[in-house]
Amino acid sequence: MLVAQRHYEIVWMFHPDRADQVDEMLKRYREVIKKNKGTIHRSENWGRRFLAYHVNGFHKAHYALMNIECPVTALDELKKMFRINDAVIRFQILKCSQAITQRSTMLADLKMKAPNKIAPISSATSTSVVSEPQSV
Amino acid sequence: MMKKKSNRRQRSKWKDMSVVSEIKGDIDYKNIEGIQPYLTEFFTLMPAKVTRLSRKMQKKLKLAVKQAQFLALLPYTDRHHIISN
Repeated sequence: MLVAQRHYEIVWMFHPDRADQVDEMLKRYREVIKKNKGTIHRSENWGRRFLAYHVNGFHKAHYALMNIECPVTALDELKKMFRINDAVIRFQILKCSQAITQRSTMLADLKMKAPNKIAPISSATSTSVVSEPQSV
Repeated sequence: MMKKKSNRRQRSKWKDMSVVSEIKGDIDYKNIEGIQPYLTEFFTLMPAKVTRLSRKMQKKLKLAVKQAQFLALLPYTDRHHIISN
């Protein structure tokens, strides 16, 4: 049976002290999407940024973005995972009309300002195309 | 004798004034540098009268600002340090 798939854009704010676990967590989320026959169109790691205001007592957070295409069941499963995970301070899920594969402005700005400070994302497990920041 | 009132409509003082002539890039919550010129010193969004944007674009901008504020990419107000203390 064909399951309707939708496009989503997810942004996470991770605990600043658990930056080393971010790749692992994203890998786990990718596996869930893959298991539900979804695809990942874009995956970005924005790194640690200063917050405009304090969130849960933190003044810094590690940001990550992902554009995915998956059924609603997969998204519900992901949401549950985000809520259970202590490392996720906040997350935002937006519906998109189409797949976005271009590099976001946030990453482009980072690259212009500090080209050597961007940490490359670990190799994606999904079969779909994943745009990753190239190491300079 | 009373001065005769002019029938001409008064020209709006905002008519040719726009904060920014063109937005740099798309109106998106990730494009903070593009959004920031449309915010006041108190980090509230300027009215369409001042920004001279169409209703459609102003709506898009409003949404982008709110999404950026939720992710702490932009502040809600200039008094965050007072509230946190």
